[in-house]
Amino acid sequence: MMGNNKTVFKFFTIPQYQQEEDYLSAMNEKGWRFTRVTFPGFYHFEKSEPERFAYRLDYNQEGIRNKAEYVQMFSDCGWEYICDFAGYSYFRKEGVVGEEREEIFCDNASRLDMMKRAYRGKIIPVILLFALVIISQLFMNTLGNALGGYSGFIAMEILSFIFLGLAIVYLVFFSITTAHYYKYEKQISGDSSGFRLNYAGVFVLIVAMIAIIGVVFWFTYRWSSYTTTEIDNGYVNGYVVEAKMLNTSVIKEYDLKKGDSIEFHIVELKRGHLQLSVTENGKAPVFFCDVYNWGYHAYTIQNDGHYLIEITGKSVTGGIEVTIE
Amino acid sequence: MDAHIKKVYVPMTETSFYILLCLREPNHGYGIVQMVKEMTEGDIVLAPGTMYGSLSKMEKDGLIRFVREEEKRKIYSITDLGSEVLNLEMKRIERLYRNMKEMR
Repeated sequence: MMGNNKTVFKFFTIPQYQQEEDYLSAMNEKGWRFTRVTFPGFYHFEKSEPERFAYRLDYNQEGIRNKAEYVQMFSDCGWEYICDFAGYSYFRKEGVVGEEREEIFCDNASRLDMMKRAYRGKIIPVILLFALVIISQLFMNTLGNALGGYSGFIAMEILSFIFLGLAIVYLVFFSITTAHYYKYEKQISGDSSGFRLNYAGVFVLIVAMIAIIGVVFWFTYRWSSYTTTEIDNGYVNGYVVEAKMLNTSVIKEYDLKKGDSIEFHIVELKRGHLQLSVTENGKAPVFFCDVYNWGYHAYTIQNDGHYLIEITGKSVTGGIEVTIE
Repeated sequence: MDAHIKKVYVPMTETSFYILLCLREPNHGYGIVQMVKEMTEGDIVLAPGTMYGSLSKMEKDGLIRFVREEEKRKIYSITDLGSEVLNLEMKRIERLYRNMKEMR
């Protein structure tokens, strides 16, 4: 025995609204009456007798804001209002499926206007998502520290990659939509120059945003500015790294004996985080740690050998003193 | 009249023309639909999506203005700018008609 309700996930781009309308009509003929749509594209149906209904979609934010009056206009013309979803309003009328498609638009100019409104409505989330990626990258350290050192920093990093992922996924859907829109406008008006002029700007915007993100990531992960000073006063061996922006690894090699002690003094850490490691040539690291604050870390060598001491910075501003005794 | 108005409304769609023509007397969207149906003996039935979109676009562009609301129906009326645009269109269509007659 089947249930009385059914939910189906479907994805339609803006210019595919006719397929969406036909789909809802077809479902209704099969005995599934459309009730509503929920995020991000779940179509809900309830069991009914097979019925012939024409379904129509309009995109009109102003209509949604003045709903009573908007719905009245449609019901005066014989269209029953069903629901809203993501700026779209769904209407149906009984008995008109097939040869004579009764439309809620009587000319191509207004049909294209509807599509333009829908298209504009979908641009805003692109801009928003990209803005979030940029903001979370730019302020990762300051915000990360404000949120509470280590965990705050990690949270910001994860967040920024989630936003980036979302932005990319959205951009793919947006591109598909744009391609469909382009085809649709060409089909309706036989000319797409209007499209090219109006939406070239959008593409420039997207390209600019990708470029900005690229630059931000490049600065965050690539650009480095630091100095190293050797310490050799006879009994203590070592060096000091003074970083304005350390985004790379500083590697020093030493021949060390069992019992030698390597000490890392994080004298100052204003921004970013560090990874410290000690590795015997060609083996796994014998010492490794992440550093998010001022402090002191040490390791005592267990075996004679040739060792690499590595300090890797992520947007680090501060001073690190390494001594070997 | 600025360039934008001229570009969008001269020439205008049949729908826009009938809206301006009917709104020389205050009326609501569905009232216009009925008037046009009568005038054209049922040939032209303006659709609600087109009507709603056109009315709000024309209101924004200052061709018509909102007068009052009656039973959830907004009543609009033509403005001076709207009349000016309508006159331009009428002249254009008159010329079209004259030329058609002469050439026939």
